[in-house]
Amino acid sequence: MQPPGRNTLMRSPLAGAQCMPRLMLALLLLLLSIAATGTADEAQHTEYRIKTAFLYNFSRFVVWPEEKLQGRSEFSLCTLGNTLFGEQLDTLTGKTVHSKTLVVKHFDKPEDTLDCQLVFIGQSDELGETLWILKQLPVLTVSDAAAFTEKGGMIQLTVVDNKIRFRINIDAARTAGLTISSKLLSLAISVTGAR
Amino acid sequence: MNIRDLGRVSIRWKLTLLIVTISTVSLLLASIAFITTDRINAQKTAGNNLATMAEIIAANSSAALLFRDARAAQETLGFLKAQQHIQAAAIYSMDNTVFASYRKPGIAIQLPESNIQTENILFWGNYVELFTHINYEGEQIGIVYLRSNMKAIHDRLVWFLVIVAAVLLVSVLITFVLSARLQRIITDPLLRLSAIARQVRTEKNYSLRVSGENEDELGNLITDFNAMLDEIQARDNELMEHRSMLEERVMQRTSELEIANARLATSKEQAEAVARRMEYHAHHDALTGLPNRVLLNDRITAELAHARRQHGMVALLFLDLDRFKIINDSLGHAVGDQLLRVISRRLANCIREEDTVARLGGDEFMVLLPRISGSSDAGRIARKVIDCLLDPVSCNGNELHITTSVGISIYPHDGTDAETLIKHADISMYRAKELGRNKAVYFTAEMNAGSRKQLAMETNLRQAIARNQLRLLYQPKVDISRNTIVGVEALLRWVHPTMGIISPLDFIPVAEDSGLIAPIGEWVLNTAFAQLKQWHKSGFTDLTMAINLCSAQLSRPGFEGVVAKALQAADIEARMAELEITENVAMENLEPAIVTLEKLKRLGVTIAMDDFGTGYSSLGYLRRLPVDVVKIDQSFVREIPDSHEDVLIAQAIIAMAQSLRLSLVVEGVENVRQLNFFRQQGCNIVQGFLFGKPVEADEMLRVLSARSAPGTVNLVK
Repeated sequence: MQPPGRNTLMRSPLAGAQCMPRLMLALLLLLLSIAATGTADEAQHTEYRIKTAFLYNFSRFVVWPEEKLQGRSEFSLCTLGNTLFGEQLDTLTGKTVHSKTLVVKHFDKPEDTLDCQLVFIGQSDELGETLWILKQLPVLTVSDAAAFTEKGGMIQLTVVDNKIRFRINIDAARTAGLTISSKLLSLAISVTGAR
Repeated sequence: MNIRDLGRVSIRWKLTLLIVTISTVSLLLASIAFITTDRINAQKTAGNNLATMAEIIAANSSAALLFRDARAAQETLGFLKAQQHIQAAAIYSMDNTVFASYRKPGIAIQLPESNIQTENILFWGNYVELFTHINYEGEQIGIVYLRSNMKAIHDRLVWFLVIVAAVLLVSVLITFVLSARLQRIITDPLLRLSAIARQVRTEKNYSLRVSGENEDELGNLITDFNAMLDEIQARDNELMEHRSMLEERVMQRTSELEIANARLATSKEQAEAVARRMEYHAHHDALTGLPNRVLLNDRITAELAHARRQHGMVALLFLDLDRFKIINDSLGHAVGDQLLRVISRRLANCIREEDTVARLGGDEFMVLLPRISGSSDAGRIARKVIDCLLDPVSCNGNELHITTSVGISIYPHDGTDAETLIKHADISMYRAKELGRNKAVYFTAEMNAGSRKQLAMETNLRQAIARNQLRLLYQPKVDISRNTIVGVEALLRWVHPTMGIISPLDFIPVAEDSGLIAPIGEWVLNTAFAQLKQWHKSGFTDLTMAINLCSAQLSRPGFEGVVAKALQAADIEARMAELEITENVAMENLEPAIVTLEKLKRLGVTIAMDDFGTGYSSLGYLRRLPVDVVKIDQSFVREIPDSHEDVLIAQAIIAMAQSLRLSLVVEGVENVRQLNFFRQQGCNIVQGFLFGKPVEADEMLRVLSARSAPGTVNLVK
């Protein structure tokens, strides 16, 4: 299985090798695939380590309505569906966000995430439905799915020039009652929605 | 200019320099303090500004750091372009890599390693570095680095230095101008004082005064100075007055004397001068010019002969400088010789004119004191000689303190010939050394004998008055122009039953020392005046009575009262009394003698100077004594007219007496040749064996009666 970000993040080693003789090519393919697999794994690992930090940092630059956080002892950072974070997100467990203890949770059904403060939505066919469910709830939605903000997601992670950047749909956040720090806004590649 | 040179600078400049220096130093210190404080403050301010800037950067770059947005971080540093003093800035992420950086265009600066965990501000020579943590929600996420130049601070410092220098310069100028004026408050009076003092010194004009109205210490100084000048001027005037008076008198007398001197100047004397000079060298010490042993011996012999004739006393002082050998050995013969010359000069100045000081050789001196009236005289003079040599002598830069040991021998007590006297003086000098130096010692053994003799004489003398052993003899005084006896001189004799007739020269000193002189003197006065009264009653009404006085009488306070009482008791007019003193008697106690003589003269008695020419023949003293009559001593008369020298002396005395308008009496006229000589000189009053020896009162009456009878023999051929 190939993650969608893989091609954009790293060019395939096979791309420029089409004119090589067959045997040589086969041999090279074998060798490089082994090497590429290792390299690709490492790159992916790095990418998600950064994204993990981003998720944590997003939570710090967004203000949730106070009444929604009151009485809670935890700040739930959730993933929905399949993601490539692996175990990395768990490193955030125990950190403090808005005076709450951060907990990482994994869900497969959108309706399970209603109580989360931040949901990272993995690759899903049901993206539209998920967003619809979470709309107007004080849940910060984040995803690296393409055109996520245009579909009503709040923060979309993307890779530009080998660097991870993000887009923000400020309307979606506002509708959900979330306030996004201007500092965060200033770092975004684009901020959509009426101001 | 060093401090020593300052001594020569005038006080005016010193004060100015002082004030300017003090003000400059204080201003400098204040400026240094001010600049230092300002620099510290400026650094603190610069540090604070830099910290604020770093905090802004930290706040603005926190999100960029967290989201690894280097571009955004870079933008947060963008505003530094407007800050001229920022040379470089950087944001480091936690993995110690430069996340974003800024360098002022045109400046190449190596960014430091960011492994600095602590926040810090570092002031280097010409730039400041600041490291500040970037925190987000209590978590350090990076470091801001800022580097600023110190130009602002440096410029400020330079500016301050310029201002301080300008202020210093201006204030020094102002201080200089002010102090140049203010110091006059002190220096002007001082300079006035100094100028006047110098003028007084150079012009000897004591009428100058310093003006000034200060009421401080300077005012007091000026007042005191002026008062001092008042005093000096007053004294000066007084002195000038005295001097001009004296000069006038001396001039008058000098002109009179010149006439007399003209008569003395003979060509024969000039010829003798050369011979005398040659003789001088034979008889004087080459080193000191003092008489040598040869001359001394001559003089001693001469004086002893004289004393023998006159029954007088002569003293020898044997002087030996203490420790002279040490000086000679340690400082050399040149210093020793110089010292001897100085000592010789002092000795010569110290003694009486008739005394002789001779150098015997080495450091031994001998002083011959002829015609002393008692042994105490010798001791007194010896003491004086010792004192004369006490002042330190400067020889080639050495301060030499000289003491002397003196041995005294006296003729006739201690010996009758020069050799014995010198020997005895020498012995007693050694005794003085033994007794601790710087002393005068009489010749001991003989002295004891001397005092025994004196004691015996004193006892006898007491009895002499009671037992009526004192006699008065009378010698006539003749006016040869009228061939009449005009007066008699009373002469005292002591007729001792066993010792025979004793001369007053022998017993008067004893009487003086023992206090017996008062009753003896009164007895003489009363007896003589009573006798005169008798003669007056016998018809010799113009007869005067001359009586000799001794020094103890003269120095006795109220002596004029004794004389007045005696005159009154005998009912004798004062003008009939003539009191005679010898020069030496007068000189012995000059000031009281003058006082007494003047009082006596006010009584109306005549004062005569006896033995004139034998003593301290100073015209100056003679002028001061209220003398009416001068008696030429018989020693000058004896060899007249055979001795040319005596003739000259007699002529000089006669000329002098005429100049000073003094009456003259010639004593000791023994033959007609002498009489004729004095007659030619215009001297009419004479006394001597030619006209009668001293005789008893009865005999005198016979002489008087014979004289006054008509057809008496004219003694003058």
